[in-house]
Amino acid sequence: MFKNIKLFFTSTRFKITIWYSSLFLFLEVLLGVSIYIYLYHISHVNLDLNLKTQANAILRVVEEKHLDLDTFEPSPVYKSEDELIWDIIYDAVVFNRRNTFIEISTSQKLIYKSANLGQNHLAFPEKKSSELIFDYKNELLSNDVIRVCQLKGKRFIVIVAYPIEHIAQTLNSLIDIYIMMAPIFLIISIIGGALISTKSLSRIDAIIKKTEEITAQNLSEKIPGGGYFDEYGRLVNKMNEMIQRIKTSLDFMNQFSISAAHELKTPLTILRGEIEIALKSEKTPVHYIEVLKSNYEETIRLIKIIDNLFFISKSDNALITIDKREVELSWFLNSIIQSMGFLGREKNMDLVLDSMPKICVKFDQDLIKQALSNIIDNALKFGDENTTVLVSAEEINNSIKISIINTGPGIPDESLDKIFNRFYRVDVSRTRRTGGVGLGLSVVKSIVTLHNGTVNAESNSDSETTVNILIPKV
Amino acid sequence: MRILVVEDEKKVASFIKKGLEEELYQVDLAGNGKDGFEMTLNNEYDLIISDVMMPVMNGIQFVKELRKNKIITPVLLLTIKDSTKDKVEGLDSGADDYLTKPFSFEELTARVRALLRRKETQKDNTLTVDDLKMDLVAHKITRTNEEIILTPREYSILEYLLRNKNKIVSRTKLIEHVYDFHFDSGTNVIDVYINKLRSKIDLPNKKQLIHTVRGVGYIIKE
Repeated sequence: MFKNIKLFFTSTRFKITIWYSSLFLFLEVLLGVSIYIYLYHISHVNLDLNLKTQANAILRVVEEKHLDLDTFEPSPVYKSEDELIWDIIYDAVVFNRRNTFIEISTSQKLIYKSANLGQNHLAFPEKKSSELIFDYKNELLSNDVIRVCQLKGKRFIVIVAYPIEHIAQTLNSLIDIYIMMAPIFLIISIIGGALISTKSLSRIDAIIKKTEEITAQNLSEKIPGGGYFDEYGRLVNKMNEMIQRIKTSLDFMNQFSISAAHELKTPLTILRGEIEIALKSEKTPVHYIEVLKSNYEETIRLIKIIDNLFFISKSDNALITIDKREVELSWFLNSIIQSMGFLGREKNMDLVLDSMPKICVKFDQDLIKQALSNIIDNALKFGDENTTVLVSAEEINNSIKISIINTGPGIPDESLDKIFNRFYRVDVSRTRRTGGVGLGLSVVKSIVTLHNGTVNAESNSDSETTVNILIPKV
Repeated sequence: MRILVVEDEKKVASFIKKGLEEELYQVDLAGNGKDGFEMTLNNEYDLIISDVMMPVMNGIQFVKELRKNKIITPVLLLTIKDSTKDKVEGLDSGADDYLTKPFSFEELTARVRALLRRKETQKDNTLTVDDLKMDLVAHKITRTNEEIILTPREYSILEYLLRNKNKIVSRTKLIEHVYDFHFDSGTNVIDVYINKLRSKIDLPNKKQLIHTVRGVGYIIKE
């Protein structure tokens, strides 16, 4: 249980959800604050502008009427001073929808004040400036700050004021809405985040599930989702490629160990069988000597197989170091031929070195000798009786080409590329009957590759088979 | 009992032959399935031991070819392939048994005995008629608990007669099953061996077991 909880809190799904909802909340707060600041600013600017416009309008009206209270004479229309003033003021304030505080006065006398002022009176010290906008605090009128616009005309002073209270109320309700909405937003963002992460991670889950299923036994299975071209698709493709590579090398290893076991089983069968029969009943000394001789041959065969296997696995793991030394090629080839010539005697075959110029080369003599011995050994084994195995060498550009030619049944075309593969045999038993193993030529290939060279075989219609080794001179 | 060993690895073939001959079987050798098949057409074998991986015609093809031609001789396959798939393939091709190399020779001979007694009702390693007993493992023959010493050839003839108890066996059949080479069936070599056998088994004071069927061959019965 605890593990599951821990797994949940460390999951990418949880992290994405947290990131997503945090970002969502942050944006919400940012938006709210921006809207608040903007509205606050705009409403203040608008308020000022409105106050100014209203004050201006009133001022214009009272100024334009040429109201001259000093020289007022009663008339049939205006029986008293007040009637005249009210008429004018009415014009000016008739559209006072917003319940602003209005005061009109001359420098000596208050002419008009709006009813909402009650007994209060907006009295400000005289200022030089004709236009003033400022904040004013009067607890009798409003708990909030009052914004005041005071305009001074030629004869009149118009004061228009408005409590900020109303704006503040609007803004406060905005904040209220935001605070109310915040948890809803949070829940929506968490659900949204969870949905998005679940959706985007469901393919990861599929990958994890399949990956868990794949073991060495079912490497040919593929992780699904490789058809998409997005990141997951690429990931799946790369993982499938990796599985393929692992499969290839595992298959190769399996094949190698199966083939190695097969190679070892034939000599072991002979050893076991011959020894069991020798021990079954008493035999003549001649029989025992025969068995021992045969056992010795099989032991040598086993050693050769194991040496070859060991060499190949070492070269696969890059554990073979090559020790290049300079040598004269014709002398080197001659020494090999002399040491191997006796192998052909049984079949009356000659091993001959073709005439060649003196060429100085640099390679690992032990390894190249091993490679050439393996090729010559095969050439003698598979060559017809009473024929010649010819070894020749020539210099091509900065490389040397050593060719070994024999006359015999040849190699079928379809097998020419494969004979250097491990355990490959052209004819299952032909090599076995002659005591060869399927490893000799793959050892040749390993050695030549270590020298950055190439090896190939060709058979022509005259039943001649040529194996060519091409390696750099130095 | 005549056995054909089909094996391309000369040394393996050679020690199997040597070992089976010590067990008093007659053994012929063939280097591949094709040669082996030709030999089964010309000779009658009691058992065939065949390798699987061989050139020209492999063991599986060889067994299939035998069964296609209604040759039902038991076949024991010898192979280095030891996977279940290979064993199933071998047995399904018509082979009767499967042994993987390197094998124990003792096991091979035990399986050979098992396969040879399969066609009979016999369930142990002794063949009997009346009071005559032949122990196939120890190669010991007794009559009323007295041991009888036989030469390998006499043993082979007696074994074949016992395996075909109460059936008439022709001279030609006897020659085919007790010699590993062709013999001119006109010779009286079998009659000579039968007489020798009779002198050792059918002693004058005992009941006669080997009977002559004039013009046909011999029969062993109680």
